This record gives sequence, C-alpha cells and structure tokens, in this order.
Amino acid sequence: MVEIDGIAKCYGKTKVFQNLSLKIEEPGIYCLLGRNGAGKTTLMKAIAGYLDVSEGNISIDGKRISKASMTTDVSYIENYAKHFNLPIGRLLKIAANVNEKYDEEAAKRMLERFELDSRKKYNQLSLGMKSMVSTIISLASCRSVILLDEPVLGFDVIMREEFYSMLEESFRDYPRTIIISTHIIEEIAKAVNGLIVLDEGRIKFFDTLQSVESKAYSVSGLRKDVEEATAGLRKIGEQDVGGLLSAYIFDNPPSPSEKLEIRKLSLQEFFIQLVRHKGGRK
Amino acid sequence: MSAINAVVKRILSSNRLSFIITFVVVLCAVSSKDSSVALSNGNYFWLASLFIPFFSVLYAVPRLLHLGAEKRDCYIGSLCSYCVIALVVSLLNTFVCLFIDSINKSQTVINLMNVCRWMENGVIIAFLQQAVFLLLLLMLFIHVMIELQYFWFGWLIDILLVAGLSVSMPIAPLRSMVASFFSIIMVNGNAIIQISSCLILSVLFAFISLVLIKRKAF
Repeated sequence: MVEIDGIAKCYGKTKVFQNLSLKIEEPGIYCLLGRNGAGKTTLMKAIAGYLDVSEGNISIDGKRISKASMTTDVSYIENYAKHFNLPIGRLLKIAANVNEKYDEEAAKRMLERFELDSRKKYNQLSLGMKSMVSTIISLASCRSVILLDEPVLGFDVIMREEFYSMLEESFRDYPRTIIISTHIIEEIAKAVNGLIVLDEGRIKFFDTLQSVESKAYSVSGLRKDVEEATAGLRKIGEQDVGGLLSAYIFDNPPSPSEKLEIRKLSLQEFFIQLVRHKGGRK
Repeated sequence: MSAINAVVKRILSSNRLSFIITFVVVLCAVSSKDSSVALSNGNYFWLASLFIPFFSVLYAVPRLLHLGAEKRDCYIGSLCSYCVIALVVSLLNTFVCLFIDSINKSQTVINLMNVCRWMENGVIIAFLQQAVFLLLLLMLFIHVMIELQYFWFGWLIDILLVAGLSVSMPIAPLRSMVASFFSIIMVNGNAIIQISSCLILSVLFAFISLVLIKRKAF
C-alpha cells in the first residue's frame, strides 16, 4: 500500500506540490498523468526515496520512505537512467545479483520479446532500447512498488504495443503497484486500471479507469438547456462556442433529450478538460 | 550477503581503469633508473587506493542503484571493496619491500613502510599497519570528501581544509600539531596506537559516510 499524507515539496520559493495526499490500497497498474512541470517526476522520486519532501509523510506497506531509507521495496526507473556500458545480458545478470527478489527468467523472456541482442553494449543502443532495458530491469525486480517515469520515451508504435501487453503480463505474474507516467494517454488506457491526475501541485483526480468510462461525458446544446440538464452534476469544464455550450461532466449523465447531444469523453478529452487552464486560471 | 558480494565485485570491476593507470605508473617507475635515490616501486600501488573511491562514488554506486541495488548494500559493498583493496595493496607493497627493493643495488630505495617505521614491528604487523592506514586515510577520507561535494557544506569544508593547512604550515605550533597528528596515524612505530587510531578514524569516516548517503539525493 502506498500512502502519501499531506506532502509538500519546495525548490527554493517554488512550490512543486502542497498538501498532496494519495492512498493506493490495491495492487494495480496506475497511470500518472499531468502536464509538463506538474510534478510527476518529483512525486515519483519522493515515493522512491530519491528525494525528501518538505512536509508530510510517504509510506509503503507501513514503512516510512525518505532519502534516509537504506532499503525500500520500490523500483524507480527514470528516463535517461545511467547504466554500466556492458552487454545487456551482463547488465541483467548484475541486476539479478544485486537484487535477491529479481526474476531472471522473466527478464530473459522480456529481452527476447523485444528482440534485444543480449551481446550488444548498453551505449550502442538507441534511446528506445535503452528505455526498454531500464523497464525490463524494473519490472523483473519484483519489488512491491514499480515506478516507471516516461517508459515509452523513444519507443516506436510496435514497441509500445509490446510494452503494454508485457506490462499486463508482468502484473498478472506479480500483482503489485505499478505507477507509470506518460503523455501518450489513449494508448496506456488499454493497460491500466487506475488513473491519477496531478495538476498544479495537487491530485486532481484519482479513480479507476472504469469510472472515467462510465461517468465522463460532454453535454452540448443551447446554454439554457445544458445548464438546466447539468445543474447539480460535477462539472469539470465547459466551452462556449457561438451560443452553444459544451459542458464536460464527471457524473451520471443527464437523461437523453432531443435538445442535447450527450457523448462519452475519451480519456484524453477528460484529461484535457481536467487540467485545462486559461490565463493561469481554469 | 550475496547482494553485497555482487556490489563489491562490480565496484572492483568498475575500477579496471584505475588498476591500468596504477600498473602503467609502476611500469614507468620500474624502467626509470636515472637517480641515485628512488621511491620503492611498491609504493606506487598506493595509487590504486587513491582512485577507487572516485570510481566507486561517482561511477559504480549510482549505476548499481539503477540496477536495483539497495543503498545499504552499496554502502556496505563500498566499505568492503576498500578493505579488499587495502589488504591487496598492502600485501603487494609488503612483498615488494621484502623481496624486490633489495634486488635494486644501483639505487637507494625508499619504501614508505620503512619511513613510517612499520617494518620495525615485523612483516605481519607492518602489513596490517599499512592496510589500516590505506583504508582510513586514502580511501575512507577520499570517499567522504567526494560524497561531501554533493552538498553545499562540502565546498565549505574544502575551503576550510585548504585554508587550515595553509595557515598552519607557517605557524610553528600549528605545524607541530599537524605533524603530531600524522605521526600518530602514519609515521608511528607503535603499532597498537597507530592501528587503533586509524581504526577509530575509519569508524568515524564510515559513520560520516553513512550520514551523507542518507542525505544524498540520487
């Protein structure tokens, strides 16, 4: 269980997040979304114990996490992670030797699946392949919390598809908490169970993906009709175009009417409405 | 334990470059015979212990963490690798001091094991005195100094150390204090005092290193 209790993080006078709380109780694959600079990497690093928060606590399975933690059950892989310039097979072997929980067989299977040449040295790999090696090391680590920061960076579309199905298989083999940050929203939706949206230093949304599928709607029509139909519903945004109003809701949809156009929001549209700011204010 | 072994092996393998440099320097020293007085070739092995903390802190440990090693294992692994190197370097220099230096009849050979009066206590004690000194002064001290550079106060400590040494050299009482410090930890024929003072300082440096690694952002 990942428990984040009222954390704040400041870099000088800049506040990355303030009074941020989050409780992930169930194992699952969670997608961490947020605009550039929302604090996704900082949050992941804090959960991994790579940096300290200014206020609040982070605990994993009841054990408090900070930079002072000499052992954690977390695997964090950042993009551009540095590795020894050794053949990939050797790197994976070292990873197996330094981590007693490591599943060497699973790592080999993933390596074959991505057709990575185990004799090739790390520095000879492309950016996508380097990211893949880091991801394999992390997924095979079998830690109770896996944090993948932009794991599909540099992947082509085939690699991304492989990655998503590999992620699901890895989770089936070892159910645990996997948090992935990415900007490729629609693709990741196939693989994840939960969605965490970080915006302006706070958790704007944390729920299952099913809830987005069943509750995120856009209601369009004349302003009067839309306002009447969506009164009392949780609105996440609205857009006025030439007298026609589109209201974006996260709630049970209003009853169908000839005057209204009601349609489900895609995950990307839902995210955009959730974090869209105009002139710094929503 | 196997994780710590793997960390030690990796740190030592990552130091291939430092071993090569040391070996090249030793070779150069062996081939250079143009003065009447020469530093023993064995003393050049000390170079390896100078390099190892750099490769360990700046290169091997961050990469081992990315491979999934625990901070604890990296910390203990670093200390263990320093112990291994200290023992190996001490063994090599002791061997050179005993068997190789005497072969060179054309030059007066100075070995630091004699200068530091360690050989007065017999070979085994001298070997241990050298090992604890290398472990303490050359490796743990350098390790701590490198770790300190990640913090703002590390630079302050650098300045204070340089300023302190520069100021104390011209002032006789301060100079004698520095000299007596080195005569305890280094140039000391009394093995018990030398070894125990080196070990106490080693523990102190190891503790500082632990505090630093707990505060360091990776």
